[in-house]
Amino acid sequence: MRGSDSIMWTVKFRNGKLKRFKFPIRTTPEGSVDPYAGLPEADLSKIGQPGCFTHIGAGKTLPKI
Amino acid sequence: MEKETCNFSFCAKPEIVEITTDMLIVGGGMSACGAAFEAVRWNKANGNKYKITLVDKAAMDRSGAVAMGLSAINTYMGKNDPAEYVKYVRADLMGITREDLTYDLGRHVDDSVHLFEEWGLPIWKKDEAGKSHDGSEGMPKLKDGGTGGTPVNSGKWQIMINGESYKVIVAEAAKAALGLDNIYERVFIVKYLLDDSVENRIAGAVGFSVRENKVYVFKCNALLSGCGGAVNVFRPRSIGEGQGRAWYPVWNSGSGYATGIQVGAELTLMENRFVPARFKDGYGPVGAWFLFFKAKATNALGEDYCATNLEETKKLYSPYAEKLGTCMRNHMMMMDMKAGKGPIYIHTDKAMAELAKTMDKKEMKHLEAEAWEDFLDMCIGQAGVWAGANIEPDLSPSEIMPTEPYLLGSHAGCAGFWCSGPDDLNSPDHYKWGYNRMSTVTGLFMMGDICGASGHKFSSGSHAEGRIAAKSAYKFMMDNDSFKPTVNMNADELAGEIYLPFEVYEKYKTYSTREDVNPHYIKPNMLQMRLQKIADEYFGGVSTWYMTSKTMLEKGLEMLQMLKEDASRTGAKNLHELLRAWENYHRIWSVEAHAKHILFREESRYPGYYYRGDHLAIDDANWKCFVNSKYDPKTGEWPVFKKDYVQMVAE
Repeated sequence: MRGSDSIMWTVKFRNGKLKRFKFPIRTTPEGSVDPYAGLPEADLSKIGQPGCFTHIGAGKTLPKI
Repeated sequence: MEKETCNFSFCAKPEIVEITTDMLIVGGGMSACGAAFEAVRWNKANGNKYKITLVDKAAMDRSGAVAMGLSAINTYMGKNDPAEYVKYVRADLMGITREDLTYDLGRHVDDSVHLFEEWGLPIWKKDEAGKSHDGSEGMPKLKDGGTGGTPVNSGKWQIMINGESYKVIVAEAAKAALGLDNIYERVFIVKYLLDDSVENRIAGAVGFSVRENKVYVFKCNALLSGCGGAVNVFRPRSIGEGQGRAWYPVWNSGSGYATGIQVGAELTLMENRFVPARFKDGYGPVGAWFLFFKAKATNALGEDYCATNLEETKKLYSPYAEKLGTCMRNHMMMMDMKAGKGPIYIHTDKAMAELAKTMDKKEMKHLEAEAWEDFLDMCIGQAGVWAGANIEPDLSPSEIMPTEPYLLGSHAGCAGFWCSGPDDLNSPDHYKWGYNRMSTVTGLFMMGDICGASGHKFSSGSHAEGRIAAKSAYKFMMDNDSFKPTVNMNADELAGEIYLPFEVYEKYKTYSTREDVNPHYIKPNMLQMRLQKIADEYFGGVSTWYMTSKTMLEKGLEMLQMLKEDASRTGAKNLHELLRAWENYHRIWSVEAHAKHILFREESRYPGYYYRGDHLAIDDANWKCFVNSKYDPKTGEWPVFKKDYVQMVAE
């Protein structure tokens, strides 16, 4: 049974033995994800630089070989 | 054989929906979700100038290879240098990988993992005492590091998660970013369109709704292809009641390969395949068992086959044998299976007994739950096999066995397209001729399973690669702002081609009294079985212990041409069968590429995955290179050739 923050399982064996488990599935309410919350804007003038908008926005220089 | 055409004399004509967009993302899995997330942010900075559209065969919440969930994220750098990651990937893929793509992925990937946690994915943490905690216990986040923000590494690159809803969470973010109006779910893209005025230039894609009678024609400036590898191309071990159970998702039907091949994108390492050794019959994952629970595998006599068979294996495969890559371990396992020393067991019971020595009762209970969670998060069927056979992992061992072959490029395989890499690394010129992750077709970008020669991306890496590709494609659109796609083929002709299996079925359905036996058509499930039989018997499937040769490959390729002829007379009675028909066309093209590449590479580069019986050894002197090929959509020619491998990271 899948709930809003966890899932519960009942496993029934051939010999009748039962096992029950409960595992977390998410730490945020379903439908609440704000994908860009707290993230920098993209800087179009730097689109040619290595890194995603998050790396560039945080001023991170990616390593090189 | 007389060629059938569809002018809608027998089946109803579908509604045709034409959509003009700028960026088209094909697929809904991890890479597509990453692409949507990244592209939308750059578009915002550009005043939302471009239209970004995503089209997915399924529903994004549960599409792609992560659909059912996962119990670990297999690519997370943490404090490790991406150059170390390159060494690991190179060793596992038998010395040949695109080190620029792999390094580039390594330096990007952690950011995606941090986002997953932010969006709600529970990631296990280790406290100061070294005890592990579920991801829901409110420990500090990975991105903050420091005390408590330490992941539970099962291996150097793998971290444990509570991942039943992994894909749901990642999809939620992508959908929120893109907006539902820009997403077409349940629309299966079956072919890409080249531009009619500019040579070798992508212009769009066509497909059909799998729910209603509609054909879609998309026109675009840039296309990001992330539609997975190829499953069920070889005869599976699962039959009868188990049919449909596979290690990789059955809906990965080679669409990513076929669509790209047919517009002339260059392939690389299509000879590679993945044959995972997994829990027998249920395909349960072994990663956590080997890495986290420290389980050992032996033959039925209790011998460690990787120790007892090493000296013999080194004779043909040194220095690769000693590195014990995934395929080498398969090879040594199969030596014992062929010698009758099976079944091969993974000793879950002994591993848990060992761990129990330092645990109290409550901790043991938690450990048992973790053992079950490994399957219940991502491979529920294996838990069913355990329950059905009265196997409790803490009390008895389980059988493991190598599966049928799979074609893919994001897990421990590297079959895919030859793509340009980043331009700021020490890579040779033939690795960086254009935009990052762009194929040899202008405007067509590859990501996830189909960006080749760069395996071991896994879920997080595929997301990161989607982001890399999307940013690059966005720049491509800015640089090619004035491009207007020209597609001369009319929509009715395209619809007729797509709906041909309906026309064939309706035209001939009265020629027999049993719908799946007919002199004029073949049903999709029969065609699929015939394909699997050819691949299995001629191209080195399970029935020949993965053995093939020049003569076998040539015969199989001949059979495949006849299968292609028959495929043009597939009959479909409903939309589901139409989906199956097109999936099979894609499978056939994928496996044809696979066989052509194996035929060209005159050595056995991946022992344990496949063998060329006529060239049983690894031949570094002649074959430490990429094998590439390129289908010509105008002439139908499909030359195969070598491309230089360049080592960028020292041993």
